[in-house]
Amino acid sequence: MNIFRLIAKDLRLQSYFFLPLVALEIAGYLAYILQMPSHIPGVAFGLLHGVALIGDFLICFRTMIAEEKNRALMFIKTLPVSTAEIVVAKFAVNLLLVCLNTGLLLAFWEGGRALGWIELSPHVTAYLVAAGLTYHCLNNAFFVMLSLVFSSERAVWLPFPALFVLMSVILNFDRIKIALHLEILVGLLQRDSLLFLTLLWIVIAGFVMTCCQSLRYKRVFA
Amino acid sequence: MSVTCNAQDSLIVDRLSARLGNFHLREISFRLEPGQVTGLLGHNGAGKTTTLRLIMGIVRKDSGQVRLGGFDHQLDEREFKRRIGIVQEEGFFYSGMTVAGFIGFVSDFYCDWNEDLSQHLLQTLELPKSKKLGQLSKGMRTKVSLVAALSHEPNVLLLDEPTSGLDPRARIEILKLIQQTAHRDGTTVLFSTHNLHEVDQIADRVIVVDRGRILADESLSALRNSNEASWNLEQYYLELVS
Repeated sequence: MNIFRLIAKDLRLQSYFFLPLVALEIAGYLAYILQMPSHIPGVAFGLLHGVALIGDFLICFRTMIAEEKNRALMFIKTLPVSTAEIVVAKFAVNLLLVCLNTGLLLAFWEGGRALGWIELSPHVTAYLVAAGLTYHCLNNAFFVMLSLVFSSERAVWLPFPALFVLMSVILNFDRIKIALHLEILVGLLQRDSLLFLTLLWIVIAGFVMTCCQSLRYKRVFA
Repeated sequence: MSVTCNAQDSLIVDRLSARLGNFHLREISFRLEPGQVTGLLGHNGAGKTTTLRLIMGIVRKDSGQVRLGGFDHQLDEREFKRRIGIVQEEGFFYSGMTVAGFIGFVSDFYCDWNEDLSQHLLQTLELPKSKKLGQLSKGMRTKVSLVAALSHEPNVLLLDEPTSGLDPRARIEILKLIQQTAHRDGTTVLFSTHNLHEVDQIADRVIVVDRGRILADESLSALRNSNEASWNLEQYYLELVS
């Protein structure tokens, strides 16, 4: 029950921020898309996810870093709640807002297509929704983990080296696959995309568990 | 076997140690009795706030124990905290919440929340329920924290410099409320302060900390009785820390 109380508190506090954020994302998206050549397939949809990616970060920033900065987390820690409840509630509210944010952007895209404003592919399918939500939840959960385990200042800087590592992994993926004998697993994930999404949700669960464990050893909970 | 705790249980702090950067809190031990007001006295950086945060588990200890009745502050975290009320000195949060909204949010976490007491305290301390926390003065915010800390009728009340930066009227009101809570309701009170006059005024006992160590832990009435009539807390404190 404490988890739901903490989630309700965050939803109440973020209610003034969330809709302006979505409106700003859509306005920003439209401002860019009007300047782009519409014939490049996939770019317009990719840009929509780019905008949602900024949303992922800002949602974490609002719910996590701002609360850390004004010492509200330290106050929460004085209430009769366990560290695990605080961590799970933080992840839950973030994932909820990210799903809502991504869902609204996808609804905007599909609505635009239905009304004839957007004449580009792809048509939003159930799989695309599931994949979009999973990628954005993973992205947001990564930020939340960083801001819980480290201080907010470090959480802002850490994604940069992580981005370079990720780019190196993508560029050298074939070599890494051979070196780590991952051919069978990669083949399996390529054939079964739902299994791949499940694996990403396991990674998100791993982030939550990492936070629950590491916060027990954090010197000051703030 | 079920673990229990009643109003007559003492708060036991036993050889509590923690290292925070260059600061080292060394084997702090004391026992706080119900109905007693204890002043935790020391200058800046002596370890007063760290001691209170260690008791609440906000700062991780290296060793030692904190117990209230049958509850350990780490092993029985939730049950322990349910019996403690705390007012922290630093900053405030949720500036967009109203006083009533904040009290309502806190009340949800306590099964033994006394709504009548909460309303009575809000009225006595003249707190405007519909005003946002961000619009309140420091004194008013301390009073809101005090309402939140007292309304679940805690066994122990921890206060971190509750009167710092307050105007004389708010200071007197808060000190009176602290004393009343201990002497009338039997709550164990531990408050940290720089102010010797406040300790002299409301405390039954004084714990002096300096550079992470306890220098003295004495009953004020015993100190007054065993010394000359000219004895005063200021002189006693200065002799200890110099």
